[in-house]
Amino acid sequence: MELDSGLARYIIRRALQIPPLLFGITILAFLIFYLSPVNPVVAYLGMTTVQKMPAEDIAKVEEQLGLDKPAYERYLLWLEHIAQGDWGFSYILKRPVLDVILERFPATLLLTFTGYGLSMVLGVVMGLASAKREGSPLDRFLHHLNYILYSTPTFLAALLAMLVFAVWLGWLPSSRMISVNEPVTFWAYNLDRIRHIILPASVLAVSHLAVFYTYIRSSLLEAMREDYIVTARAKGLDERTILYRHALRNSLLPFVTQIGLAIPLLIGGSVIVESIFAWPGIGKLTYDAALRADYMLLMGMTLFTSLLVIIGNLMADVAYAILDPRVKYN
Amino acid sequence: MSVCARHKVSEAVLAGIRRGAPSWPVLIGLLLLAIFLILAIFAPLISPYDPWEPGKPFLPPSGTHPFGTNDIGQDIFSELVYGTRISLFVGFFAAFVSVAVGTLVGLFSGYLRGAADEVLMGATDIVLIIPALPLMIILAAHTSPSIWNIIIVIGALWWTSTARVVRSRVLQLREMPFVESARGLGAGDAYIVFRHILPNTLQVILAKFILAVAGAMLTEASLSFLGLGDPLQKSWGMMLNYAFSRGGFINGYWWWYLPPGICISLAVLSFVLIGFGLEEREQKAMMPSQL
Repeated sequence: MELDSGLARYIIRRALQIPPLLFGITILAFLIFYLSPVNPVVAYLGMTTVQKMPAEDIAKVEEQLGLDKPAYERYLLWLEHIAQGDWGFSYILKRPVLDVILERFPATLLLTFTGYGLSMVLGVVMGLASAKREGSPLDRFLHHLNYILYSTPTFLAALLAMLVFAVWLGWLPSSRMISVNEPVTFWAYNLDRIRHIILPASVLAVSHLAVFYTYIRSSLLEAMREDYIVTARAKGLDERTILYRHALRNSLLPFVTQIGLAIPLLIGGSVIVESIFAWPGIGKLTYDAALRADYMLLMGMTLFTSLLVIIGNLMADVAYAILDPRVKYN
Repeated sequence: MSVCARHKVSEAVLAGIRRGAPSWPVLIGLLLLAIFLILAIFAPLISPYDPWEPGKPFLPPSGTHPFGTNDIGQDIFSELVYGTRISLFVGFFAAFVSVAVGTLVGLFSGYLRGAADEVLMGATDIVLIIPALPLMIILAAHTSPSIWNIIIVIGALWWTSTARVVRSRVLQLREMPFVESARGLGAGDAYIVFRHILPNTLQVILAKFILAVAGAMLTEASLSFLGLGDPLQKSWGMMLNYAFSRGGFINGYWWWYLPPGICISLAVLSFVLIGFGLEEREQKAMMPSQL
């Protein structure tokens, strides 16, 4: 009972840190829009329409869009609209921003989870292989491979994977989430989707592998030097049990927070991977919006991805606090 | 080997590393970096052609064109050599900006503590939370494409980890006896921060700087590849962008896209090897005092 109220207080205090962060982020997102060189009226109606319009009509549109008000009023107005679920209007897609984001988000979630999951599994397997014998040829090989992975730009990995597996070998499709002619039967449909996700998810996994592997390896090695491992050895447990049952369990715990911290990087990675593989998620949406200066959409995207990161971090911290009884809630 | 003996051996290996002999990865990194620096500095002497001079397109590698030519017949080897300049330039300058910002934020936040610390670390958290790459794409698309803008964009968003590391180091340092005694002798805050604390953080900052160069080069390449680079500067990312958008990949002109890709990876690798080597040494140097 004592512990539970402590945890509740911890969650509440952690949640209280969110509003100031959100405040800062909304200000930044608004500044991007406010300082942008593009005239919102032109953006809204198109250059040709604006050129034909009389000056008083333009003034009327400006008034409608709230452009005649001072910056802080426009900011507050924007916040008010956001709170009401009106995230603005994307003028390249001619649709409400929030609708577009929510429509595209599941595709990104699917790709990210697949890629991330793959990356974590590979990272743990490689980390275990390394930590089993520190300094062994396998450990050194993995350690060096890790440097190479770290140094390879994601877009390069994506291009090479596409080149080898889609263009040369022709094993896998090179773009989109599903074939142009969607297969009709259930099995063929799902097989088609799996074939489409393999390349982008693998590239995402490889691009993040270095971070996970390094983290797992060093935390395993650190754990292997702890007192409880010495105790386990003294009890006569074999190394395998010690590594898997004792060291790994304790190393995976702080890994939870690591996952939360990696979300911004992963979103960055998904922008590149989605753009190259034409994956219809929010990463590609951000890229298209930036190239075509769709500021309403960009503001919405900045806010949305930041929210994701905040929620992700909060969940990771809370999960960590629940999983590790040693955490003191202060 | 018994469990105990194995434990002893690993202890001995650790002690060997702690002594800080230059490891192989660091040496390889330095060698690679030296090669790229020579290419960058002596680019006009090394490259056989003007990288902008058009000629016969799509020539495969040969004696006259070691890496062949691109779609408008520019010599790819010469483009690569000149590209080294751009990539290193952006890498160094962006890393400099980001590390300078991060160091200042870390110094003030760690030394002043209190409200200033809260505000600065709050700002750091915000920059950490907003996914950097999309924001960089937005900013790069906003501003006119030039390498200076890319440098500023990367620098403006890459400083957070330096700020955190410097801050935690400063928090340790400010309680140390030599700082106390300097304060006792009547030294002002600015004097203490810049003459006593800053020099003691340089080793941490150096490791961060080198890793920031690697990060900046990767980011520049990514932005250029996405078409947000400076069209007047031939960086490696730009070369890849052209190779991709003008059919080099689809048509299998491997000499067009493989060399810049390999160069980016090797150049980043050189900084990664040196940077992680330094960081590992730093951590190991700090370990005995923590145990």
